[in-house]
Amino acid sequence: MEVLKGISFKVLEREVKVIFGPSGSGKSTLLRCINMLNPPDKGDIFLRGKNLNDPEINLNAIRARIGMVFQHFNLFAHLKAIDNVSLGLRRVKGFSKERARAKALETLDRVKMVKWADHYPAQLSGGQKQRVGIARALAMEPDVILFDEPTSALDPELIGDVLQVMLDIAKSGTTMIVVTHEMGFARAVASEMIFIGEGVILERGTPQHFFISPKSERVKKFLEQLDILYGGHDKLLQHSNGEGSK
Amino acid sequence: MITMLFQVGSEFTYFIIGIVLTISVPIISFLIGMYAMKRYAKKKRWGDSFKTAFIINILLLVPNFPINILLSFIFNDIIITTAISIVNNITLGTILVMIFYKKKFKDSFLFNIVIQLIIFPLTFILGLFFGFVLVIVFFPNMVFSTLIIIRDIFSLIFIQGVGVTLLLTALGLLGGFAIGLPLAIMRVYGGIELNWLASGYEKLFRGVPVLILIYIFAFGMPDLFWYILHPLNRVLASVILALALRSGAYQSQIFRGAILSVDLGQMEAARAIGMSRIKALRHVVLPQALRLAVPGWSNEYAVVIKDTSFAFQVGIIEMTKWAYRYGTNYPELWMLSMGVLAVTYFLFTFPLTKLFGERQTKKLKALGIGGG
Repeated sequence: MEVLKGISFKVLEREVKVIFGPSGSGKSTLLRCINMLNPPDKGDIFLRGKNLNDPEINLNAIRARIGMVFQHFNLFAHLKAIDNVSLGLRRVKGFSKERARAKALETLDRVKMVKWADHYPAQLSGGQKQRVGIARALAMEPDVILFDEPTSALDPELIGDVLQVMLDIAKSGTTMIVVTHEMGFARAVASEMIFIGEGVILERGTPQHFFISPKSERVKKFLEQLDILYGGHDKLLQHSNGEGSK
Repeated sequence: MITMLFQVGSEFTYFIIGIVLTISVPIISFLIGMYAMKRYAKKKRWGDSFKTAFIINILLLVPNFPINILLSFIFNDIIITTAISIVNNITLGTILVMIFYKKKFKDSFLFNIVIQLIIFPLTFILGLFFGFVLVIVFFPNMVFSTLIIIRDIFSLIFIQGVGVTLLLTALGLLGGFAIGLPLAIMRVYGGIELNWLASGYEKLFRGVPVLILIYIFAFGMPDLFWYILHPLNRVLASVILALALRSGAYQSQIFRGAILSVDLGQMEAARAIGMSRIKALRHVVLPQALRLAVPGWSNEYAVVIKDTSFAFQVGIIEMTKWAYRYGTNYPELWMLSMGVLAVTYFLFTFPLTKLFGERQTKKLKALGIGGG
């Protein structure tokens, strides 16, 4: 079954690409192709010039440079929050226990979860879990972080905190590829937005392009729908954006 | 106990006990019947008629005496007598309830079945209890000496045999673990060939009885462990091998189930931060899977410790052998020896399976492990 029927795009450093579109269009599959969890049947992925399809490449080392944040968090249930973040540092990057712990605390501070460092995932709310998930990806200092609908599984009240964290790290220069419906977020920090439908790119452009004059009717209707559902967050992010600069 | 009664007590005392039981059991039955009938009728709002219940129960009680005595003469079997007695009570009771409570057949019938089901086990247990009390009262010496015998048997079984039993159990379980875990990993993460191999192993060692495995390795291949000097230790090693092979087959199932219960997202997330499959298994999946496997594993412990009882067939002196020896030397105490042995095994299995059983699974689900 062909899910992606021909997608091609480039992501430059410090860019924030937002991918959106109807469900089933292959967005999650696309992300899993990028970090080779689900290698593409045709086509190549390049990370800093290296072709990931090259059999000589150590995929595990590559994946350590590509972070991922999941829709359902996928936190390691048997480990405390701090250990969730430090596990990769210790076992993949070979940090010592102390160095890993220090870096983990630092990263948890960035996502404002230091207070809960010794809590288990089961003791955290959805938004808190996702922030730990983001910290887990951040701590590895990857070249790019992939976000697979990070807020879709959250209760409305909790989405704001997570989006705020994502906003912060976007502004600090992290390269991000985000699959999401949160148009407020896209409007605030996206360098480029890509609309994918039926396995192909239907339209792409800057946020201004999409929100002022999208080309296709399809995209227009989709954005209208999103506005109805998610309009509220827009105000949340505009408010915070008013203080900072883009 | 009954056998000892015959040996120690006189015919007369036995007769007295018999009379006491024959009188007290129906009276107990009557009282329970009264209580049950009154409560049931009240609950069903049939008219809380104490008098009606009383009449019915008396009418059930009185013919029961001669009928039971007659039955015990005709059929010398207690099971048939009891069965006929119950059927008789139900029939008679149904008729009486239909007359006195003025109920339809179906209601009366169901009512009586329920009452009999309540009365029968209760009176049986109470009758046993009465019997024991009477025996203790009339034959205190016999009871005391029985207790001493039990203590002797227990110390023989336990002190002498438990070391070997626990050794066999521990090594058998460990061996099974060393076999089962890799097999489970092969089945979940391996390719078709590995899967087929592991599956074949499982089918083979689940299909053969332990005793036969023990015979094969202990007697069939006595030189398998040629490097072990003492011949008895060679047999010991063979038995442990047989136990481990069988346990491995079952533990493989346990671990496979546990690994599959771990959320798929866990493996995904581990690989997403750059872990190889092996690292991910070691640091993320297995820690959770092993915790999930605890209830099944504690069950396996109970199975293995019971399996060790076969070892006495090939010359290993463990708990069962001691009980067997005692029983063959004193045949009239066979039941007692086996009873003590059974209780000993039970003491080893029950507390642990209760401790590490279903409660663990609930605790783990609360932690969020094993939701998938």
